[in-house]
Amino acid sequence: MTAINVDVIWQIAGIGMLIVVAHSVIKAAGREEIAWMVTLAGVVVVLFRVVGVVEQLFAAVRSVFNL
Amino acid sequence: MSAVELTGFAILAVVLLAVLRPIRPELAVLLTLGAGAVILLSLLPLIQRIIELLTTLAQRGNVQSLYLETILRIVGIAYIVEFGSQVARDAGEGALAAKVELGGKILILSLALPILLSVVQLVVRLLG
Repeated sequence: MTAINVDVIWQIAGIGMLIVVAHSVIKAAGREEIAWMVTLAGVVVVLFRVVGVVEQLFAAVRSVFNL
Repeated sequence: MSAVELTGFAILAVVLLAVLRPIRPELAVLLTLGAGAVILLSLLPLIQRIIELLTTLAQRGNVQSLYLETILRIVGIAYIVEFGSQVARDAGEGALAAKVELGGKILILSLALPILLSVVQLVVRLLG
């Protein structure tokens, strides 16, 4: 039985925290646009990670139910 | 994948979401998507075993494989469409969720048509 790999949500939450901290630090340093770019980059990283898991799910469902 | 593991994982995801939603709502949606996918992924081996049991029973009762094949596909479609529409509804997009569900219903209906036709033919042959 495949155990639940918990690290996916740990990574997402970790990157989320990182983004928020980085955003406020950079904004405090006065570089507003850099802060937004860091936030965007973080969201894109999380997006790829989640898309990987969802794609794995769809492939598994397609094989189980032979859709 | 026991009930304890499943519930523990869900509670952990809920706590992380509670932290993340006020500060970064879009990441909360991604976290829901990821957690939901992981849970469904860990359920699949159990479902596969159930399906294998059903297919052996069906073959023993020489049920036509067309029916079983269609039913399996319908369950698969429902599985995926439900996942997608709930994530959309959770993110606050009720309209999108309804569209996904509508699409799922139409797909299932289009799969069920051959069975409906064969039932009708059977009835006509019996009555005719």
